[in-house]
Amino acid sequence: MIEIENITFGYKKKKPIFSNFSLELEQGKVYGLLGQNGTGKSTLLYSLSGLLFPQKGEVKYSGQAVSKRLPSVLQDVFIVPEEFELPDISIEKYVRINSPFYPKFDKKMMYEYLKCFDMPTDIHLGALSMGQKKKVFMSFALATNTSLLLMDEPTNGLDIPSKSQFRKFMALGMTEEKTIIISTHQVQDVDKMLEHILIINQNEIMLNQPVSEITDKLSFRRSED
Amino acid sequence: MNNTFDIKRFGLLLKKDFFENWRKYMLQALTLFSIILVCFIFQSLNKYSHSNGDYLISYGYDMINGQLVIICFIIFTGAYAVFLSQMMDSIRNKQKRIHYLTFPCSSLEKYLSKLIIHVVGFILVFLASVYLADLIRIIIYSLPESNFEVRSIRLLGELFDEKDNKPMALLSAIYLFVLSLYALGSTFWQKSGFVKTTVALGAIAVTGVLIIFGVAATLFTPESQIDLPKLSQGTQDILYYIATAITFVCTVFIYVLAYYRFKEAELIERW
Repeated sequence: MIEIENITFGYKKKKPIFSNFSLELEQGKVYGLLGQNGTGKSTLLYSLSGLLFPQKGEVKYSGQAVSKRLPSVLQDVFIVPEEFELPDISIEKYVRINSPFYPKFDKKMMYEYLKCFDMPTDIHLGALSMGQKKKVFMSFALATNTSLLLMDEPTNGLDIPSKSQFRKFMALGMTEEKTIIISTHQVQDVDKMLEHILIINQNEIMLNQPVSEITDKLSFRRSED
Repeated sequence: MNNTFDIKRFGLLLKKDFFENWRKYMLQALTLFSIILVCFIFQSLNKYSHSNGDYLISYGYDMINGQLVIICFIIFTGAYAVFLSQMMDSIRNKQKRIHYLTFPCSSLEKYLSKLIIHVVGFILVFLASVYLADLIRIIIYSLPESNFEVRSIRLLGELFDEKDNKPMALLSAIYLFVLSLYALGSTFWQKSGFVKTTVALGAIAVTGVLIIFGVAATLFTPESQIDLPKLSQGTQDILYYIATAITFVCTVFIYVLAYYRFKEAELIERW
């Protein structure tokens, strides 16, 4: 479904972050994208959404090059970045203006997600704190029902109760048709919902395995001491 | 699904672009209208009061029509250049870029939406502001106790009333070409676009003039005699038409270039 074919990318020419990097991601899984700072997690997410063009190679989504930014691809891909801006309008207006561009948008579910976060539905986006805006934006993102949802540090800016609400919120929105990729350092906030772990470091995929296989390999024994 | 241009999707995008920024546009329109009104009233006050209410109306329109047109021209140039420089405001920072570039519309639709708001929309708002400000001017100076005779502004007639409009048409084409460069500048500089584009244009103009003078100084001496061929009126007309047409084509080319620059925009700036 998502094919990253031999991409080479760097913010500076002489210092590539990815060099002939390839990866294939399957549909219907929740991926956790982990790694140290500066290893290219956010860069990978941006490349998957067509925000960055690799110098070589291609990123394809369902056979289409993401870099072309075709509406048919973009309406099925949604990215929740770490930082974002919302216009100074009511949430009702925001949904009315933006939802027609996503054919699978579910307004009823949008309000369910807001309820999950204890957010009222008759609010003005300009009056919200950053954490509240994040809840609204993530609710909208999940309600678009795009087949690919990318989230960069989704729990950043959420308070402790909200992080618990986030887990319920994601459980509500996960379906077999959706592929979700979550890039995060706060693994403890999302560990229970992850199905596949990806760890990248220095242009290498250090780990690319389902959680079930990882847990099968690990065993815990109580010592006699 | 049409991935290049869909009229329904484009209409929704225009609506989105307008309603998400309506406060900003309203403020800019009010500012523009206020500036025009203040200038009109000030100029009328300045001119009419000094005439002691005893003046002639020449050529069928207000005696200060020419001055009002010059005021409109100056305000239009400045305001249009500033407004065009903000055309790519939707990608001025990282957060806005992420949203706008990944929004499910084609690059052509996004660009045309911006162009319509910043070109067509601006011109309509400008004309509406001029005529509304002029109406207020007429109302103020047509009060029964005043003995002024005022007429509504004649905007385009002042520029194109002469029998030979070709020089004016060529000048207009050059003027529109220079303004289009601000649209191109907005794709390079989303922050302080107006200042940076003006500086860039100034630098290019100065460099061009220096090169031309340098070449001319090298090729020709003060003693050189240059006999330019005398062109017939018909040939001059054709040259005017060709120059005007080329300039209009160049203007369109600049807007097309701005589109391709926008289309290639990424999350980071690449030169």
